[in-house]
Amino acid sequence: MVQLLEENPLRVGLLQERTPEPLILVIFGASGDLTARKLVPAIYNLKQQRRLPPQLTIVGVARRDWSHDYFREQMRAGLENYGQGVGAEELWQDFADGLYYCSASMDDPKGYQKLNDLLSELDQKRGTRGNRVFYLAVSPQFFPEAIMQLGQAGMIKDPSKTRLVIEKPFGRDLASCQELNKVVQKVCDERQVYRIDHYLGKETVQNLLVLRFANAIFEPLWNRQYIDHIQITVAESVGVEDRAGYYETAGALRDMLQNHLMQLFCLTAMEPPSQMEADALRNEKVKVIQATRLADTKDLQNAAVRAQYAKGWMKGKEVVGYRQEPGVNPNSTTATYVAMKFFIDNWRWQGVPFYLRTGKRMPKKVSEIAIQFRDVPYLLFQSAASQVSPNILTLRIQPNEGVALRFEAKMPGTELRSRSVEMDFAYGKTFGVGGSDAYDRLLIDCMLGDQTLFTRADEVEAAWKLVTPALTLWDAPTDPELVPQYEAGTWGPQAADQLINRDGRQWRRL
Amino acid sequence: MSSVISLYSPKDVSFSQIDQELSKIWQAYGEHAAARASTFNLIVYEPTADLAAVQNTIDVIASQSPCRVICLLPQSGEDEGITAQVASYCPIQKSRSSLVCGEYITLMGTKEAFDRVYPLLMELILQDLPVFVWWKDSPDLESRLFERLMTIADRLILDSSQFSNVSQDLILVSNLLKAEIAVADLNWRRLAPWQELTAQAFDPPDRRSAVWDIDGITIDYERGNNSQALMFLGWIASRLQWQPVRQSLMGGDYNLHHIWFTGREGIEVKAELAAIPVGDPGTVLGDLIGLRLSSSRQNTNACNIFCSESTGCMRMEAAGSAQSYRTHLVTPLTDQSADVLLVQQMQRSGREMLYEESIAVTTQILELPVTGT
Repeated sequence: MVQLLEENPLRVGLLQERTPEPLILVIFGASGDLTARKLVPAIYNLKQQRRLPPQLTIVGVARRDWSHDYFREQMRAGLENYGQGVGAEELWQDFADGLYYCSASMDDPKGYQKLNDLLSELDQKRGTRGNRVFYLAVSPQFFPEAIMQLGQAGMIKDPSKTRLVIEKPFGRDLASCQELNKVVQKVCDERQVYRIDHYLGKETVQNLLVLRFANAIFEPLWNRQYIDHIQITVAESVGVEDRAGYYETAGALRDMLQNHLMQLFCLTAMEPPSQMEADALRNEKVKVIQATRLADTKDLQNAAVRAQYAKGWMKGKEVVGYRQEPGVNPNSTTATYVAMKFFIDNWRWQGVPFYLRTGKRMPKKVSEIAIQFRDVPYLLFQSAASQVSPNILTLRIQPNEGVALRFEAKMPGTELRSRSVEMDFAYGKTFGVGGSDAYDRLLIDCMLGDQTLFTRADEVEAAWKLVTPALTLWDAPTDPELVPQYEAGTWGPQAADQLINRDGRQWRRL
Repeated sequence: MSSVISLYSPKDVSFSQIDQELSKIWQAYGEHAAARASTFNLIVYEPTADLAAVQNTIDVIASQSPCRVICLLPQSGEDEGITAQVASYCPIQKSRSSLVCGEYITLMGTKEAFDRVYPLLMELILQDLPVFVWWKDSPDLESRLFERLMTIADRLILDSSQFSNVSQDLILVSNLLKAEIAVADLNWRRLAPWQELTAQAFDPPDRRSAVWDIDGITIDYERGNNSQALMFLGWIASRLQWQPVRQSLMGGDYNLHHIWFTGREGIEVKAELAAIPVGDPGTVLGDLIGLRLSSSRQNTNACNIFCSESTGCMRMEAAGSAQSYRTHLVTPLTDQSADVLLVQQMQRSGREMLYEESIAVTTQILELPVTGT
């Protein structure tokens, strides 16, 4: 854990960044967890950083019959419980003055009319000039209804003034994703749509772009000639917690791999965009996904492995298996672990395997991208430990965000023997400050109309298409006994080891 | 940056025909060929009546986003009313196949004529869109036009590198800020690389606390305009809680200006501003060319030199400084022209607190009694 020091006084207020135009942020699902835990604390944080226009107004929408004042109280409680507190009372008061609530049902046209009237009134009162961001922080089943109702009420017809934010998941397979995209495209332009994958808001994920394209030394090595393989790992130590209802219908593939890991994969593998602009970047991401395939679609076990955690030990405490978790079907076949091997059919990556894995109840909470370079063509020096030690460039996404390069160095002494050492860049050590929260970044980008860190319709569809062979197989009714198990607190099932071992490689132990 | 094409070359029209003539442009082109769009109003006051300068500005702004630009070109001589020109320009965007175009209205006349037609001028502003006023002159509270434009501006944009009397004009700006007028100074933006590099020097945790050891600062700037130097000093003083105590104008070859502050825990801090004659100051007068942060404490990381690669570091590194200071080279910046900085301003709204807090300290310095002239 990085110890945060006294802030550099010369940094205070120095972020000379764009501020959004005055607008109303309408949050559907305002009585839910996401609003109180993530969205409002992120917006308040932006307010503290003076990144928001004074006219910024938030209208919470939900079924519950709350008053404006009660909504304000709830949001204050959210800041105190999940954020950094409200800080200066004047600042909170100023923020609270811009918080409003509208009780409405997602499927009731009258509710949208009532909301529209309130928004028009607030435009006059707060000077927000008709600019709106509609944020759907609701269960995915309500997306189509909410989007259609907004369209029918004429509330998102102006592409220059209205935007729509959709939280993942964007469908549960290719067909449902295409269906959702059709609903969206019926009522608004793609340039109004902001599909949030909060992984893209993470500092280190964005740093991947900087590392690749702001440095001249990496890109010449970033290809099949020098890279042996790439491993992308997103491991969680927690179990399903209180999300069994959702997780039973999703599983690790839908919950993590198809979106978060796929974003890491795209940024690692894509070609340089022509400019740092939304469509230029997203075009490259789509191109690389379209060139990607599962390593073996005829015999899927050579390319994809799923498993469920069984009972085991976490930090000295015994934990139950997935099927014994509250709310989980005792015969569930939902995967809590997925490992996949992909190939990209293009000039840069032909023949280089990309191994992706994600799971719950892993030994550690850790996310990283590891680029393993090829061995030297001929070994001149003897390794002190008689080990083969390829160079590995590791981008740590969490914890201890940073970049490390493993290379060989001469050991001190009269003999010419080598050992592996690491050049290590850690965000905390270098900058002495924590990175900004992913939601802070994504919310401000959306308010500014910058779609760079949001996923586009064709990108999401391409990602679903890529994993369709595995989804089709795993969604089919299966004997629960055939779903591999792994002990909680371990790095996954034996089948996952076999997936990579048969190529003469190993998963990294993190 | 994308390029701009002219959809409709400037055409002379009478003031009353402006709207009619603009409508004609759009009727002549279907929506499929060129779309009329505006995301903000920009009123440009160009005191030199330099049409080439105005055109250049229009090109840069139009290349970014469509807007309605109203250029006011005051002219001397007899008041013969206002003459007007209308035109339309379209940025060519890679991502769009059709053109999205903005409108440009140029008005010429005497100051008296502008005062007279002011109500009509207001009718040319597109409602419900932000209004930026770029006043390419010193702030002029005597001018009725300036006074009126301030009341409608969401943001008043100035460039202190063009101020004729820097001290007086910066105090005037400070008064505008106190009156809660959102002012942006393009010259303040030119300080950003210097501020960032100075902050970077104290980012690493092991150097963080050394920032409080600074008790000396020397700022070299191009002779001709000291607003950047004063604003930089105001910025660092506001960040490090230095209270201005006294100032002295020493004059001499470098027109030395000394300011004393009381810093945190009562330490005395001395600042020196030096106007350095340079052969070619470029288009902007008064750019910073060197900065030295020093400390009388032993074994501190506070001592840093920042010097522009283009003008050399010799003055800063003299008297042994090169041996005991950490030196940072500042790459010459080529994108600090007013037009480019202006485009950045178009993407911002509201007040800028860091600027306001820095100007407040700069004003405190300027209002100190002067000794030693």
